[in-house]
Amino acid sequence: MGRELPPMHKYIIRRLLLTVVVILGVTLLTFLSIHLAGDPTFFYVSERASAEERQAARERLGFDRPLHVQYFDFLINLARGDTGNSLAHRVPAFDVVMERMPATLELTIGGFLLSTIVAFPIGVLAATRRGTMTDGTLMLGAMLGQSMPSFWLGLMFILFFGVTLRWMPVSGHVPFIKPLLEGRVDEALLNLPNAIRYLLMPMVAVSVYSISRNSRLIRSAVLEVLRQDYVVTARAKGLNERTVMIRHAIRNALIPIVTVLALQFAFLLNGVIVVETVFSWPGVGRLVFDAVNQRDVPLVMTAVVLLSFLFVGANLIADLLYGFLDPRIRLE
Amino acid sequence: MYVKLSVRFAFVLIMVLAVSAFISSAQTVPTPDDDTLVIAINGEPGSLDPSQVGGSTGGSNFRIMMHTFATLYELGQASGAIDPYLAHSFTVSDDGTEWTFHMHEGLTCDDGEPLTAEDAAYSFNRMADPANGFTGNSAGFVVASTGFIEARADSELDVTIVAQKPQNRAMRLGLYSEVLVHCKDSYEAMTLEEAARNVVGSGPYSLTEWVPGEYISMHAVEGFDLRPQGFDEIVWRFIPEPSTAVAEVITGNVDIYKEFPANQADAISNSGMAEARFFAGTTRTYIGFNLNPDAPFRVDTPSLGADAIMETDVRVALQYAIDTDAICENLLLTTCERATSLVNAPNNHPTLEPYPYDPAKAEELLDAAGYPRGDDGVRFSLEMKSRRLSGAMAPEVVLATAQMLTDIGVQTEAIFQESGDWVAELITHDLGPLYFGRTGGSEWSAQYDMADIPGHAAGCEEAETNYTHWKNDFWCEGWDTLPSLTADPEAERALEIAMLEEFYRDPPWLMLFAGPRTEAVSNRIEYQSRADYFITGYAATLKDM
Repeated sequence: MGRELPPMHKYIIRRLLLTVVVILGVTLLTFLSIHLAGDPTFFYVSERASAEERQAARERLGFDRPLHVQYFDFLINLARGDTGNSLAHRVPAFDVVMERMPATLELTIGGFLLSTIVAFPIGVLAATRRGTMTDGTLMLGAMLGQSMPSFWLGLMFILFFGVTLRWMPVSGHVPFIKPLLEGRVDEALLNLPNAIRYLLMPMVAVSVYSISRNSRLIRSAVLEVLRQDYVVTARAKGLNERTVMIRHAIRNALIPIVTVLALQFAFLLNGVIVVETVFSWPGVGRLVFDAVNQRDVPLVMTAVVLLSFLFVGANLIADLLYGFLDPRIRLE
Repeated sequence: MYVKLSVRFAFVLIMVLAVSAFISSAQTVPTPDDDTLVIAINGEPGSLDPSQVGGSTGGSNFRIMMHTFATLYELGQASGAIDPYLAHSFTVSDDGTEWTFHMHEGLTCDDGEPLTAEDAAYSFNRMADPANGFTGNSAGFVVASTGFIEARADSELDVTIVAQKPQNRAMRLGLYSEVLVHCKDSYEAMTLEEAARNVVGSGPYSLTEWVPGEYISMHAVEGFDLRPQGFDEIVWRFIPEPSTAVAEVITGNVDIYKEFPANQADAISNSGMAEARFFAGTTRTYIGFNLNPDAPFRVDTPSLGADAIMETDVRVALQYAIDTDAICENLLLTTCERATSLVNAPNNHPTLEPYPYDPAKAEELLDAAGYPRGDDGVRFSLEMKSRRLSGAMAPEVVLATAQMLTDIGVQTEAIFQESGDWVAELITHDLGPLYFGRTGGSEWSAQYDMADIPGHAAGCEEAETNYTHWKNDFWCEGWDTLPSLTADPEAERALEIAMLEEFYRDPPWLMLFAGPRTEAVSNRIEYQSRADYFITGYAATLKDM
């Protein structure tokens, strides 16, 4: 009789199995979408190609096979770790995506950290000053932040900080994570100041919406908790306000916040497509956008699979954090 | 507490930024200096294989690769010129099918391998080999347009390219000038995957770094004397958003940016950093009349409009409805000359006057053709298919032309399609009844521009690039006759002119203009803009200040 796995392990295994289902669903939808938009072969033949040449190209690229065969072949190859060659780049699609992934992670993680760090004090401050001028001003700012598209905001940043004031570089990227991952720590550290300089404007542009949304959410969550009896009790016991806020209010408000923050990470991954284009940021978002336009099926599918893993991973981390934040939540 | 944490975070950030100003050895984005020219382009090449040029898989790569690879002849800087390059001269066989190029001595590739006729022949054969699956301009266009059969090395310096039939000399020379020459041993040693990323060049610059998504940098090849090398380094930055590229020009971080949005010309000129140039381009913009009797829109959903445009008189009448001057001045912010055919200046018809803007005459001709306005003021309705592109193909231009047609009673609805659908329907001759299109053109050969509609031998109305499915026997027979006249340039030109008159009389296109081009050029450099798509950065030099 084998030893029973701890509940946490079981939970993680169950979530990983669920991940497979999610990935299957996402890849199927992506695959159908890209094929419903027309025959990709037309992008990989000359305008002068005859019908015979087009058919030959279709066969060479494998687009002549029934869709379900193409999809199952993709899945089989995916299981073997082979997602095929990019049609436009003519090299393995996995390599193309992975060489862009560090830049996207820099932007996403930077945006995530910024939105969390900035949204928290704004939300808590607004909650503790509820109904005052401070609360009104902060929430008005949050509403404006949610209303501004990141594309427009990015261009305004470029115009004001890049062109008019010349304080910030207009566009471009200096790598930090990539040399770090490749073991070139010295280079990464040397690049860090410039990396931040180039990251700053796109990071702010990508996170303004999140900052606004998170600060409103944090305000609501904290307000909700502040109404609870245990907070009143804590105050009645004579605890100082700082202890009440940190030990009793904020910690209890964290669960809905963590849920949204995890989803926020996924949202930021989506949002970087536009911001990467505006700031010439060499990330996966821009790559996928181009690949969709070029009907580069293997590249789109590979990127979607990898991004799906990131999405699911972020949500898994959030789920695991629940147990840490609130011991009443069991993972069984 | 959280407010304090944020203040601390901001302080640390500011300190890091301040320190960054003093660190010069860290990696940064390349910027112009006395030795470095920076060029911005919107698209990034997928591959740098010299045989995979242009098309969906190539994107902007010819612009870049014409710096790392040389060609036998080259489409010159001056209008219409085709200049010697790796070859100093050529001879043509009596029957016009074999062209022998005589190459310079002592040429080498980047890796030191001697560059000879064998390499030139290899480059042509490799490009045309179906087993390699190359698409784009060289494999997809040059091979078909020249009737390429094979290339062979006759001696160390003489390479002969064999085609199926004779052809207009300028056209064939121009087409051969689009094939990038590379060294056989170097490329035979590489897989196709390796060749997509590794460059062993033959041109004035050698690749030094390709940072995907960011830039490609190249260094001047020592001892290369077939072309100037104005700067030691050329950097190609990939900036997809045009407004961002303009901002980089204005801040002095980019020296050359072709095809900036016209409405940003003042911002560029007023910056004091760069000049905003407008000039006539070679890309022909037109509205195609789809005349394919079997097109789905005609068979599945018959309409009066689709039938009406089958008549020459109607197509002529519609020419008078479009005010190209107004479009160019108000939407493209420049002037442009209306086309009289599918051929660009200076090879267009020498005397034909463009159809003037005369809506009253358009209405009169439509009345006479039997399409009077109905009670609702509409003669017939048409759909015009387009894509959402920029410049001369911008949605506002498409909508303006649709409105002008509607103004004369031809109710025209502009339909913006996803690019893939648009291309698929275009290639299968199913796009229409009207489509708003553009096609690359030249200044160096009338027949290059006329090749969109080849003759009976190529299928005439069935020919792949005859997207309008135009059937005109005079034109098609003329096209088939042209090759036999290559030895008699006067007769050849006379036939070209007669064919252009036929195109004007029985138009398959609603003729617009050669799309104007824009180019922002830094004030610190001397650089001659080109009417075509190319950017010859190697010819740019630093101004004497």
